Amino acid sequence: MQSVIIRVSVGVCFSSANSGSHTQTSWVYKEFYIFMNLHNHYIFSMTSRVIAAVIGGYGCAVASSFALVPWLNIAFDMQKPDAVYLATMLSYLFYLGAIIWCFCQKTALLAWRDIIMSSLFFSLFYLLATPTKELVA
Amino acid sequence: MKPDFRKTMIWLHTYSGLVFGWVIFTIWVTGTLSYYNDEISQWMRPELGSQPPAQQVVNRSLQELSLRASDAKQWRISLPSDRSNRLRITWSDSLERRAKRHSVTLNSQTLAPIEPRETQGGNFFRAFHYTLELRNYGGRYFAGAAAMFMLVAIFSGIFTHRRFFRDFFTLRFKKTLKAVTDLHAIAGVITIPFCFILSFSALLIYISSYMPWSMEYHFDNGRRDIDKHISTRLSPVKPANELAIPITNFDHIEKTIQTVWPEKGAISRISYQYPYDANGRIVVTRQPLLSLSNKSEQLAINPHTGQIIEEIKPERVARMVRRVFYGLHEARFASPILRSLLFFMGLASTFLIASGLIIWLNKRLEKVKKRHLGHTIVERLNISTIMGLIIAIAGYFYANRLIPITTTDRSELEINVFLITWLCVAIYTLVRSVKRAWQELLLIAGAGYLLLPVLDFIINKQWLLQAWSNRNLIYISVESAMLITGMICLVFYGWLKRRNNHVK
Amino acid sequence: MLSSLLLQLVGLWLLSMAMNKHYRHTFANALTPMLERAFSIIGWGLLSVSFILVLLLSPLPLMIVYWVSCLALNITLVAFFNSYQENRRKRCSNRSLIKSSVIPPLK
Repeated sequence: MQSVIIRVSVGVCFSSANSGSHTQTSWVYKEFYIFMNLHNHYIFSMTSRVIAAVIGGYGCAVASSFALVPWLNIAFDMQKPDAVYLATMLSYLFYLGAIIWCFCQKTALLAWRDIIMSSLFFSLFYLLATPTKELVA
Repeated sequence: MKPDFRKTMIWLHTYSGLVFGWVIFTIWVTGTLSYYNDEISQWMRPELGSQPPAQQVVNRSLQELSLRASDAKQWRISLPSDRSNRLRITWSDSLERRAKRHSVTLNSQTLAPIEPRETQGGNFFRAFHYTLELRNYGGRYFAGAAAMFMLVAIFSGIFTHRRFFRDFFTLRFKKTLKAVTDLHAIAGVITIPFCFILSFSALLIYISSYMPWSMEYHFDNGRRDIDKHISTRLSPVKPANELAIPITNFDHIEKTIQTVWPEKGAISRISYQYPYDANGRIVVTRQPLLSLSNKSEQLAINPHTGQIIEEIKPERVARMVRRVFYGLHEARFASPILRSLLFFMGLASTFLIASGLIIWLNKRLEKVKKRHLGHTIVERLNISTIMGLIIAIAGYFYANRLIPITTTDRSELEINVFLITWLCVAIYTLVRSVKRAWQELLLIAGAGYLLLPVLDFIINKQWLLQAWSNRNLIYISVESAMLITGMICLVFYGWLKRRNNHVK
Repeated sequence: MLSSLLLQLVGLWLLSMAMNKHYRHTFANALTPMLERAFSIIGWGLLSVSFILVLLLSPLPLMIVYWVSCLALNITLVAFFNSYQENRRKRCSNRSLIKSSVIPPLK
């Protein structure tokens, strides 16, 4: 449905922009070409989003399961085993959030951007918050 | 793609539901059946009989144990309960979890040993719904992925039917597809919290398999180590190697326990650790009737004085979260009324999933001009999964009654019959036309379920008659459930037949 | 406990009556804004009362599980009741239409 609207609008743009010099068939050809690219683009975009959501989201969730550990440790004064356990459980919510978020973005590229940025943020947070390997056990 | 949130959610709902839909359906059906795990097991072991348990069950079991297992390091008595008529004594040579155990099932009234038939009983359904009968841990990962897809489908489903507060009280019964869509919507709405909690708790149960990275990194022995640090447990018992005779009259101890656990039928299991040792103790496990957590509450009692030594400390927050979700998932706390409510919601959810698959297919077939392979695959998979599972479950029950008791590997054979029946139904759907396949399979399922109690009566009249005279509601209700399932299948068959004849 | 669940059922029914679509199937007249607000407030009020009643019982988490499960059952009951009312009204109106219409003579 979207591709139909885009095709019609692009076709209109084309026909209005190139008023005289193009023949009927080449206008149709250009429109068809753009439609096919857009359709392929649609498939590519959705696949990219799905990969970003499923695999990228999992990576983001794992990163959050690390990052939440020092946060729980410092903010709630939780011992290391409890903090690790609770952080892993909470990371599921981040996974769910990542999946929904990926499909809310305008383009697939933005979805990937968000996934990668959040994973980097979580990893950096973890590395900075635990300078040595030992947490308050 | 145009960023339309609702359209995106519809796409996500459709595909997350479709890709794993059949696996999710299977898991939910077998899982819903697992609510009545012990009851089904009791029906499948009819030799256990229907007699009410004897008065002095514990004392007499202790007598049996002291006769049979005087040199064992651990005695265990699993008492019959509301759900199960099975009295079992076990003894082992060490306290390790994987030690060799000898166990004998006793008749709960005469305390004579019985040999119930070798079967996995209702536990097969429970194990199937997370292992999917795959080797090692493969099934658990698959089921975990299915749980994740279910969660996404739930969330996107809420957004898809955003107008549900305006719509969900509406049921339009004129056109079939609209009726099924409305029933799908209402089943979805009423089971939102149920489905969410079950899927989320499913992910939490195997969290050390699905998200092991943090746990592996932070502990030396990895995730196997973490349980030691997080859970509370009773302190370990060290044998003193001095001989001492334990109390074998349990009445006094039972009164002591009742002061701490006042409800009736509170004791689920009694364990004598190092029974003939001066440092031995009795560990009593509570029936999980009052607590959502799946942690078994335990009391340690001195077997010589009958006093309570120690009570297990409650869990800390982190572990408690998983315990509560695990407990909610298994619902061992549920009384019969609550369990039937949960069963009803489970049935509503399986209807949700099945109707979702059927709606997708019919909507696409209405819209598209030319069918392609995808539609055929979905069509055939729909029938073979939905009807196949129903008929395979009936086949499993038939196998339980018909396979001779003395066959070796009998439980394996029952499971194989389950799987082969499913395969046969799948082949059948490939051969017949779609309309005929639905009709005939519904007829076969209906007839199969209705004939099961009849077969049971023919094989041995005593089981049903004893159940009736002893008011063994478990046996009677399992058979009634089979009759009801058969009748529902036949009602659907009749409706479908009339509809197809009308359309033709 | 039982009273809490009955209150829940009535509360849900009142909430559904606050929608015009369902109101006119059960009652003959149309829904007025005042009645709509009244039903809505009383409905939510009854639901909260039933929840509070359940909170007073023990053990608390178990009772909450009961309440949510019964919510599912009650929503189903209300939905089926409303669609029964709708079908009844449609059948009644069909019957009255047939009675009041003039049957054309056969040619």
